[in-house]
Amino acid sequence: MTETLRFSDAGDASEGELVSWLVEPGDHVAAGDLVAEVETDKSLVEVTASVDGVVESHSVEEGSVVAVDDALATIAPDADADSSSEAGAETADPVDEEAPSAGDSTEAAATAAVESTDEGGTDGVSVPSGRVFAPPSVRRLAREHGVDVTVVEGTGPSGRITAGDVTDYVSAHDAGSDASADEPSGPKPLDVGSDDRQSAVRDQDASTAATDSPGPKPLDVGSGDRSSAVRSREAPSRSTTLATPATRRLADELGVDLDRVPTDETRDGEAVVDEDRLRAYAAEIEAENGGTDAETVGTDAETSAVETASTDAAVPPSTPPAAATAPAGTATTATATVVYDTATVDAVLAARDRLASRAADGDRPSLLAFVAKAVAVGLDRHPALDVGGHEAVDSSASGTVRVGVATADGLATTLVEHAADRGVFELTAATTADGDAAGNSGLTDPDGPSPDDPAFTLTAPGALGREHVAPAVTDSAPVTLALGAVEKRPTVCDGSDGTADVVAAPTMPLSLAVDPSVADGAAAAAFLETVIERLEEPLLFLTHQ
Amino acid sequence: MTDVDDTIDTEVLVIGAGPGGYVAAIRAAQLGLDTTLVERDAYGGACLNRGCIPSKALITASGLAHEARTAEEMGIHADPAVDLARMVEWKDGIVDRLTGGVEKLCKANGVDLASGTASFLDEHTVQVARDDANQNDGDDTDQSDGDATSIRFEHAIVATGSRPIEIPGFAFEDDHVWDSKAALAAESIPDRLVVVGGGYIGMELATVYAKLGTTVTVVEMLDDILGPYQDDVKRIVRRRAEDLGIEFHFGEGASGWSESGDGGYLIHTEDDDGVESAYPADRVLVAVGRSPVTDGLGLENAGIEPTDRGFLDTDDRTRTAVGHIHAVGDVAGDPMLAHAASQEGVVAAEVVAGEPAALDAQAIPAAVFTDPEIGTVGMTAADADEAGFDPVIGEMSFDASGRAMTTGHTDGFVRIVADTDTGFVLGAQIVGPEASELIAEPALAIELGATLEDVASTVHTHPTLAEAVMEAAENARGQAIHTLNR
Repeated sequence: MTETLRFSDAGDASEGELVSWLVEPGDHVAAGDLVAEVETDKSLVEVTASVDGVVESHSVEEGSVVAVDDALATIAPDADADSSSEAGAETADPVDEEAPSAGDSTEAAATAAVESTDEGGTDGVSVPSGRVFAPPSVRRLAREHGVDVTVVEGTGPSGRITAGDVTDYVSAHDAGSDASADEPSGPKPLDVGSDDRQSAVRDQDASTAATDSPGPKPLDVGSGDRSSAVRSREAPSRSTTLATPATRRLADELGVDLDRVPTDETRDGEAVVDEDRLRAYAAEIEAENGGTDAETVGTDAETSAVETASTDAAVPPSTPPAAATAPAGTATTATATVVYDTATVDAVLAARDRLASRAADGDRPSLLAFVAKAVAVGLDRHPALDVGGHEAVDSSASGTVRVGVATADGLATTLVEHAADRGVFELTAATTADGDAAGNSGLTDPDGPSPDDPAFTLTAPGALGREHVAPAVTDSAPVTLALGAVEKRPTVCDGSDGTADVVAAPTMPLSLAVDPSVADGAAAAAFLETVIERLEEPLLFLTHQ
Repeated sequence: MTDVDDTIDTEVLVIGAGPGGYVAAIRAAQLGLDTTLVERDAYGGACLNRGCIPSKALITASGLAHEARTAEEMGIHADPAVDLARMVEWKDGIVDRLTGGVEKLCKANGVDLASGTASFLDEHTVQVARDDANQNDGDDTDQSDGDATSIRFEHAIVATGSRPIEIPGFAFEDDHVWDSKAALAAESIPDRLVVVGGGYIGMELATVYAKLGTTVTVVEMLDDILGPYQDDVKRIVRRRAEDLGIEFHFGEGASGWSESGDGGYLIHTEDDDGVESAYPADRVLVAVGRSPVTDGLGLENAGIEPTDRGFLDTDDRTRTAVGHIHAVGDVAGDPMLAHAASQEGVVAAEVVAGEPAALDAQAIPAAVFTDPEIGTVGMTAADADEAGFDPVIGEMSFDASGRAMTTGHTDGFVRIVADTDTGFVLGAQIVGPEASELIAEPALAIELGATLEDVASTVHTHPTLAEAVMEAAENARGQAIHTLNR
């Protein structure tokens, strides 16, 4: 098969004049033999044969101007010649990594191979060809760690690789499951850690280093831990912080003081804050403020939904993001399909109020309980998302919903089986912080699914995100529905006369994350629609439709 | 230069004290390595003595004379008299200060200095021959005939540089045939000068002499000057050169010279079709490129074979085929630029010291000190496209720049090339006043992996030429204020 010899490297130039052919058609050449010379503005560039073989023809005449990649000649390779598709000529390129092509004794090359290993431990890392978007200090850091910087995922602006990215990569490949060894096993309903949130929100196809942890880590809400988390948040207040213009703008948008963002990256003694640290810090601030708001809000009707949510304690009052406990880079995000939608909840809130007088203890049923019921119908209609049912032998686990609740000991989860068969009062009682909600509360069969088995997961981190948040999917929570804060938001209301008005109505954002191997986006969207329909018209529960 | 004893041992031997060699030597010494630097001529190499520095001095001086002569628009009327000998003396003073400075820096950092011509005896030994003919440092006190000392080294860094290519029929030893070194040391301004070669050296020197009043003719084999640059960049420089009175003949190669009988000469050329021309000249400057200096180095004794053009192939750690022998600068090939040599020198020293250094610069800028200047770094839009990016370009013309107007020089533009999706800056081409300085900012942007937004969001001082870089970045984003966005 004929090999086309192309003008591959002209150094600084992009073209030159082929001033002389040194071989003629019919000549036999060995790979690396000089075959032509091209004169560029800077220097004379050598063209060497890329394979052993016989020159078939010249593609250009002497004196022609040739540009990079132009065909220069064709060579019929020898029978067992290495016909690499590179088809590139080796020119006098100082950054060529291989041993020089022309006429080097194998002894010298062998010497080079031996000698080069003496030059320091990081010798093996070659310089990547092509553009690398990382500052020189970061590229050097990668070399110091023996890491090929091009495999490090960049979390800087536009995917730029930061020093933090390199160290994350290094620790992720060294640490293994060390990070989660001490944490209680249990599903992690919502992942709001800095890197996770970023990657989850920005790039659903992010694949970071996976850990061997037995299950996702729960958000740590315990008082003691929280205070330590808060303490670590009261990090340095500096007078100067270095950051790129884009990061500063983001800080403004988020309302964060860059001088308060904890960082250990420095440049010339000045602290440097990059975008992911900024986001992590912003999320933490948000969590603390959000939790405070939920607890101090009044009994005003407008905010009753929020207050109720916190009174029900189905919503964790304050959840510092997972970054507080999980070292960045050890969390797991898999490719996830996320569907967002919003339900107008005035009907279900009203239904809830009416039921209050029927409650044994006079308390209204929780909004979370209503959602759980709607989810149960959805799982029945869209069995693909009923992942609890997949594992069960006798489908005893079908219709199982794992509900994330806050307890005095931290966030724990309750497995609720056959949610469709349970009433809202029952569900409310089981999913409040009182009692032994963490684990068995009589709603699970001891012989049934264990806490770590895959199950549809429902969480309500409304205090964290005002709107939508993107839950992570994990092995034990391959489908997660996260409920945003209930608030009055502008909503279109179709009037009876055909007009449409914008009114303020209580709405609740819903975010559904699905592992694509479980179901695709269309199925997820259909499921969410089923849930929302019942929240907006609770009477549908009566129709079994 | 200090005497060297008969046989000395050293950790790192650096051969050649140009911008590659002296930088490597100083860095190596800073890293604690026992370093010896051998140079047979003057410290600073071609760059300091007969290249970068002298040419910029003459470019500035001739430019100053020309500016003063052509500033009527600003209300300045002058016709300065130029004393070329004095100009050259001033230039020499600068060169001396710099070469002296290099020597001091080397000594201050603990580098041992040796004078003479080095040649390899084997992989770990060189012989340094002290040959009178090679010593032109004017110091007669420590020379002796035929002395040779040998130096045993653990590592070597070859930084022997390059020299101007001599073409058949034009021997540099003839007085009227100039290489760049001679052109920078002229005693008087020639009436007529033919410049063979329209690359950056030929163009810079053609501009110097045109501004000094010489009638300049440039003969170039290709169909335009400054081969590697883009057409719209070259066009501006060529037109301005023509305005200065420089005549261009493209597609012609110099074939020889003859005396013209009036004390001058005729420079003969031939084009592709064999058509001959002859141009009268008092001097002919041959600037067709530079070739590496490896003759007499004894490389074969060290097991290194240069390429057929004489360059030394190296890897991204500056190592030759023999792992403990490095090569940096012009002798190692493209890019044949002083700042590349210096960077390579630093990397070589750091690699020898066991640090994880490598030649991984994302982009190395280049400048041409013509009028107007050119500064480029990184990729053109075509390069970016070829590399698989989806390029977006932004431009700002200097005729829309307030500061440019106040300098009286508004020819040219800033062009910035970026990736559409990510905004990463991939390259920049600047032609215009101070382009050689302005290109540093895009080079930094590329090296850091900055985006158009980063550059555009950085506040640039007003009124400066540098603002045009910011505007070009904004233009690429479709939101420049001071130029229309396409």
